[in-house]
Amino acid sequence: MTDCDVCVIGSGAGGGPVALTLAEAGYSVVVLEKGPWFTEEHFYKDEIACCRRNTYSLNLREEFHVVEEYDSKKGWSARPTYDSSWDFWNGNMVGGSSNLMSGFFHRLKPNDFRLLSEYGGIDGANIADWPIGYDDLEPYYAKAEREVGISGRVVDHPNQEPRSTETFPYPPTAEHPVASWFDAASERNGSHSIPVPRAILPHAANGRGGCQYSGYCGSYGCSSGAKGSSRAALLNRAVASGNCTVRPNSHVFRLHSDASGRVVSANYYAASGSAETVRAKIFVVACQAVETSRLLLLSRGPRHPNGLANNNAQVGKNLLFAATSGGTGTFLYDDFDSAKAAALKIRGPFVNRALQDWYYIDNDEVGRMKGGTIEFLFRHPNPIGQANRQKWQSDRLLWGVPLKRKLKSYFTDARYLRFEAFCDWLPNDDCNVSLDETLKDKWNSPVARIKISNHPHNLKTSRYLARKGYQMLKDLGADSATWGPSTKPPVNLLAGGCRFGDDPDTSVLDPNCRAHDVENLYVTDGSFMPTGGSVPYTWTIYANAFRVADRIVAELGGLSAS
Amino acid sequence: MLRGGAALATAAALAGLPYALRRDLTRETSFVLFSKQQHDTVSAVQEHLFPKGPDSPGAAEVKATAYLEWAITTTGIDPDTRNTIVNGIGRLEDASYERSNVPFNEMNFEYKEQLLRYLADNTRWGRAWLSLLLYYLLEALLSDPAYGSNPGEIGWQWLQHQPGFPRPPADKIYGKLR
Repeated sequence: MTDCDVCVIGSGAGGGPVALTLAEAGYSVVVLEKGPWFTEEHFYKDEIACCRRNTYSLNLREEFHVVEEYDSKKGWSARPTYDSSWDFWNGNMVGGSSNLMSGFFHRLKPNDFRLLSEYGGIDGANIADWPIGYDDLEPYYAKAEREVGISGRVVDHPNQEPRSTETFPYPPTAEHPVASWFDAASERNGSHSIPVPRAILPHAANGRGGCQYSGYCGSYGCSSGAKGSSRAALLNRAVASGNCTVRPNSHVFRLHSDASGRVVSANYYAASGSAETVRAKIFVVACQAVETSRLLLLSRGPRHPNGLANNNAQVGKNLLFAATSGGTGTFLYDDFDSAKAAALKIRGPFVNRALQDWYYIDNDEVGRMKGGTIEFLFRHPNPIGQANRQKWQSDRLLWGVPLKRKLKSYFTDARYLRFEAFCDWLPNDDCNVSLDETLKDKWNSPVARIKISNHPHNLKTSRYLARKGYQMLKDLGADSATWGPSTKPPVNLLAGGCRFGDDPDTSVLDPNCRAHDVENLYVTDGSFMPTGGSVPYTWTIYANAFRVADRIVAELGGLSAS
Repeated sequence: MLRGGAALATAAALAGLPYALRRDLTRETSFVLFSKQQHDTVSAVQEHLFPKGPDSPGAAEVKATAYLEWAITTTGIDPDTRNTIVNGIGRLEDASYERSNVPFNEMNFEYKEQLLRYLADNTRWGRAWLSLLLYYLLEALLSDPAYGSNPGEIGWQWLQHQPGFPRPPADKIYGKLR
């Protein structure tokens, strides 16, 4: 006796495609989401609510993580996130962090699926080939373009990945004048300017509004529905099918398995605080990488004494972030003629440009290695965070007239164009998720302990790309520019922890993302990735979740008569 | 007499205080958290940190004190942050009396500057406290006027900031969204 065919835990980019595909195929789906159900009418361009308080996060005194880092002086040490600047809750709401993404969408490239075979091993890194290839995922990248709503323009460039369709289903979003400056600079310096695909609708479609070009996008929920969040693009349609129920404010604390090892129910606390249960034929976990591993480790059962799907002690291993570097160019209005200065001041449209000339590198300077993607964008317009950084002069607090002069100059003399470079975060033995042995959350469950180790190769690649990004900023006319690798990994770019593979001894999931040792358990967020590639993960998570959803439909018997 | 008793007054003021917005921010003064002396002291500090200029707003113009009171009494504020702010007022009063035997808000500009600079550069609590005051001051300068701060977008206009849209109505600001 079950309550539904499929229970999906987590409603972000890993959960939405499964819910929609199964619901549209006629199967009953229950989605359990820990956070509230915000809609377009809750999303305002309000820096206080969005970004200076924890509206989309959790009270870190009640629910937190423990982060363990290495310091050359102190060695390994751990601190709870309520006592540090870390916050791993990346969008605690229906649709998850996809509500708050910028929507810079890139596919992986064929060599990303065989990093070990193509580039060989690196000491201290657990690099592995994927058990599937680009060709297996390509149809689902194309499906995500249609279902999520990805806009863009295909151009020919040396590292363009193969496509089954000639164009994107939606034309590009409106471009800022700087985009044409970028194209011209690229032409001059011999690089290849790439229009960046965006998970943003340029016009109304499928019951969603088009982009309003308010100039605020990343970190904010979208008030028109143009951004392709799992909620706006997929879950609303899943619910409209009549076969899907989304239960917000439902915190799953355990998956209950029986003597045969199958999962029989998801146990959760509802908004009222009462303990509730959902019984299903198949369970799909998609809580974002850290919390997915934590839930499995918390879900001990008679056949899984060390946690669900963890009989080979692989759950939580090989956690991935993205290796990033960045830099900022200062473009002084006085350095340009009046027309160009006026163009520079325009707010709203997107720069939408990237370089992938160094996605694969083979030269005398560094030899042959995987490189990455360099994304260009204006500095986020949030004024409070920027103003707060102006209060320091070296290590000294500024106030009074000197502070006001600095603020006035910062905000009115220049515009700031940034780059963010993405490259592989190499999986390693010191980057993983486990259960903390002493600290518990308000539900009395052990919190996740996140051990972070940044492999030296990440820094080598990041620095290489950062120098290229810096040079592009100078070629664009920046008065000054900064560059350097990020010292801390981005908490919103998470993957790994339940890597998929053919060998149960070294992976948690089979090639279809079903647990090797739990026949009715799938994982469809970014946890499955053995390596992450050199792009943000969301498009790949969407695509793979659509792929796995088709396998689940097949397992359930194809299209349902209901 | 508030000197020396500031910590006790603080504790009394905090006792039973609900973490909720309880008043209209646009009112000039109301002592939900701060006593009158605390209010006068913190206002004087804010005005010193961010004085009005010939073409720019100061702390009073952006309603910095009322905003600060809202910020440290509303939902989700870290109790340590709130205590740091409130206790710092008492510590400044103590330091003021030690130096010149008058309340901070009655000092002249040079004395205020010397004392605050000494505290920022030589004491851990002073540096942390002033950094927090500056942070909330800048929030008052650049947050949406729906919060009662930045009235008439005076801060945005000064820095030529273009806000996004849609803007939050007063009943959908932080603390009222859920």
